Amino acid sequence: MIVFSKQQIVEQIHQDWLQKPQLQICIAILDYLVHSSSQHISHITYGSLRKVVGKAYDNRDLLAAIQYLCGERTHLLEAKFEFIDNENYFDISDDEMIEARETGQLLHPETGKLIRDFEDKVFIYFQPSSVVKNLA
Amino acid sequence: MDIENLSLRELQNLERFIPGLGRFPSRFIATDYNKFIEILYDDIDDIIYQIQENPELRQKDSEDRLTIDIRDQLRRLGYDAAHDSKFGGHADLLVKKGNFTWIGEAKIHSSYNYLWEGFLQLTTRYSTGDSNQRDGGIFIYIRQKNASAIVEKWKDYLLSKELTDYSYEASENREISFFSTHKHEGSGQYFRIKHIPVILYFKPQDKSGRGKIESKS
Repeated sequence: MIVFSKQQIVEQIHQDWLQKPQLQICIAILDYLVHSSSQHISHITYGSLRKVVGKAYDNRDLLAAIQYLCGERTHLLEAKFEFIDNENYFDISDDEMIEARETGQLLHPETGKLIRDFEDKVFIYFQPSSVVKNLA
Repeated sequence: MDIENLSLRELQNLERFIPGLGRFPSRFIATDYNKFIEILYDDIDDIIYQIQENPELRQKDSEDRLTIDIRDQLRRLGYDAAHDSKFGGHADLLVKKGNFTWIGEAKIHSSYNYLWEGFLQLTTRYSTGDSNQRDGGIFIYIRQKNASAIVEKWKDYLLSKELTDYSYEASENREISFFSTHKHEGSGQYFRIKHIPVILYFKPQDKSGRGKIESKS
């Protein structure tokens, strides 16, 4: 795999966002990920990234930045799905999610029963990607 | 808006505020080639709609300038997109996801011969036509009026070239676009091209617009 330096990624973010708010948001998240990687943080939510960037930026800019960081361009964040049933959390694989979205049906990982309105109960969380773990 | 935890449905509902966000989950789980292409085309359509919103600002833009804008918008959605990448030549737009590659060629419409050159570059220079790149696109930047008529003539022009196993079909999402398919000379497999007109005609006929034109002449 290609190993990037943090500086290379920062330059890429600058190039892509110029003076837009996402520039600072992405860099704040990159710093957080570099730090979290050493602490083995593996469950990052939209809410935790909201806290990372503080109140200076609106949600719209934050969500666009997160989407960007999950893409192939930087791939700093690995997006994952989880089904939350009351207080229980179940990981849903990408393949299961592809099938669920195609068929419109998702089965409960424990009971095997059909989950009604699964799109209201499946959430996205994030992990630092292998790019972050292998930063030079 | 609370974003502590966003469900798939909530993300989808945010699409009207942040274009492309509703497709975000589909985009990152698009491990299948066809899905990758399908989502890329939806994203490109949205970008084209945005570019078309201000044709008055685009009258002097070069092919490169317009294509770089498309590249930049794709990058902000997270795509690994490049302009002028060395790829059997210098492809106007290259989008990669793992092994999947999509190549776009861009032309400001001046003549059908010129568009044909773009078609040949895409099909005989840049693309292999193999399974990981069996689709491509041609952006047709149109500053003349009646883009639909131009696209229809372009369809006829392609038909007259008698490409092997050539066929075309309408694009469902955007009527002015269309897909052509023919047998790729290199791979011998079917190669599908999305022909993507970008409407940049700008000749306002209201009083204010007429004034500007008259004062220039």
